[in-house]
Amino acid sequence: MIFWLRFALRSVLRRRRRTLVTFISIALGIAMLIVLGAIMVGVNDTMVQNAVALHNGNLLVESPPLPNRQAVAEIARWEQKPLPEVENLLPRLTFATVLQHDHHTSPVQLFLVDPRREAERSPVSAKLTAGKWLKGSEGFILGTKLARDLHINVGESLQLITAQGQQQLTVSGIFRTGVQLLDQGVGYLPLSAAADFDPALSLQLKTALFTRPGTDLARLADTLQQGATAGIRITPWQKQLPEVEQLLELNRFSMQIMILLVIAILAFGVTNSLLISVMDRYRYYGILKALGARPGEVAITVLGEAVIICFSAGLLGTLLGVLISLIWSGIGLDISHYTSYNPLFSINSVIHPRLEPVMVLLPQSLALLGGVAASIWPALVAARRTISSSMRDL
Amino acid sequence: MSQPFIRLEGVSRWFGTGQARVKALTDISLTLAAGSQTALIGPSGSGKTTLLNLIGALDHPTQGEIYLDSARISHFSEGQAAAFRRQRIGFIFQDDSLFPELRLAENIELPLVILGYRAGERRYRVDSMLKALGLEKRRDSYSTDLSGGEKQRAAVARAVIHRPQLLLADEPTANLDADSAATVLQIMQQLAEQDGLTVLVSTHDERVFKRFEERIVLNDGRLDRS
Repeated sequence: MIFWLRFALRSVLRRRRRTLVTFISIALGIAMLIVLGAIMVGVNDTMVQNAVALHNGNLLVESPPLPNRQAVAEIARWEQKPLPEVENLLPRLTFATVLQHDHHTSPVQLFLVDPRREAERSPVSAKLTAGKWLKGSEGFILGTKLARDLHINVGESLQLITAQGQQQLTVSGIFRTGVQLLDQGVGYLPLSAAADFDPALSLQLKTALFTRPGTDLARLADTLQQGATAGIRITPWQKQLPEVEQLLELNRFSMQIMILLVIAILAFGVTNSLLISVMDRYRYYGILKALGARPGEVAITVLGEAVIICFSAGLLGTLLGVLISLIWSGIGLDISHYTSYNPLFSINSVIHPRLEPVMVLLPQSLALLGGVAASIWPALVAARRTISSSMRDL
Repeated sequence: MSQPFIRLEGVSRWFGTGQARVKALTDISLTLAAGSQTALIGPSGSGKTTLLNLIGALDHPTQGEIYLDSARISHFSEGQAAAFRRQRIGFIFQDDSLFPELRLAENIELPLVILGYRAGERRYRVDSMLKALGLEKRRDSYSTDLSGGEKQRAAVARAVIHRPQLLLADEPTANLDADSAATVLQIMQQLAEQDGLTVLVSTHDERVFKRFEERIVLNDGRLDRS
């Protein structure tokens, strides 16, 4: 066996030009697939970061509507919980209401937030187009489209209308995220403003948890759910935003299809190259068999060539792909030109290609398998051809 | 005459079918004794290579029977023929038949590798053979670096290294100058005599067939004993 593999290696090295062309094709193909895979993972990461930042974090702690004081107490309970896997906790209370300015009214979902922590983590504070972000217990922020609907500007006051009565708010800032849902239907108040509302006002807890990278969200959600107050529900972002999750899966599926297509093309290249090489050497295979070599031994020399070329080219392609991905990851890739109207890139449209073990190992493994599969036909041609016809052809 | 080693009975070999059918050999019957050295003579296209292929179990006759040391090889399966060849037959082909991928020593040891000999035994036999043929210094050379004479000497070594019973040579000196051809033939005959091999050499070169007492003449696929 070793002798035949050495024979295959020598054949590969002897036909340098043919080997080099096949080798470079495979190496570049694999490098390209690894870089594209890293870009795909980077795109998915950016989409998830944007989605969770804009919405409810990696995990959402949600309650049914609770009386004002009870909701504030529940927020405090979550603040005191030890949560080692959580990087940031954004306490949020929310309720649906109607805003009125002059003769203009608009329904809105108001969020009571911690101004400092929200500014650190939520992208809204960085998306102000006018005025200032919330400070201490002061301020009211709303989206550009909502402000336009209400015909209101920074510094002007409006009425907040609830079942319990009315309350006056002064607009301190206007934001634009590019996400219609936020720009048209959401407003922000400091969390401490809850004390100013009627105790009978129902507030819903919607605390956002931002976890450390690599956290198993499903497991953490289960753990937290077990220790939670009755009625509290903990949901990972995948369940809150199934459309984003589907998009990520679609990206992965598309990438896998692309990997298979490229590998299939490379495999055809390998078949072509080996077949020509086998036809060039009919006489030598005839001599080999005349000396008593078994068909299997002849086939091993051809299969061995494919394995040697595909494995070594795959290794080089992987190194090249990993290197390019790492360099590109450091630099980042700004795709804002293509995503300026896409809400999933509204906050950050710079992607950083990221290497995932599967996306690194898959192209090389498939290239090796594809190469071996591609060499089966040439190997059979070499092994099955009769000696007399092999010798007669030349 | 000693015991017959090769026996052909009414052997014919045709290629193609219908009107395109070519009769390469027609009704060949002959016997060669064990240890004999015979020249197979005939012009190009007379069927010499086809006959060698049949005797060497590289091909099957269309009609007739071939016996080699009482084994009926004309009905061998591919597997049986391969096993028979690797143990009992040595081949020398026309022109360059050394594998360019392999060094000279590796080319010579090839039949031993195929037969599953251990590395130590292979090395011993190859070293002895290289010494006998004066090719020790060329041990690690590739065939592209060898002269025509050296290549054919190596081909002779490869054909006998596993000590077969039958040596078949198809125009072994066709592209060699007179001196190289004489050397190759001398080596081939010496080695064959040493091991008591039966030898059959095809040629249309007078210098070659004059060296053989036994001669078979083929003309247009038919046999003529001279």
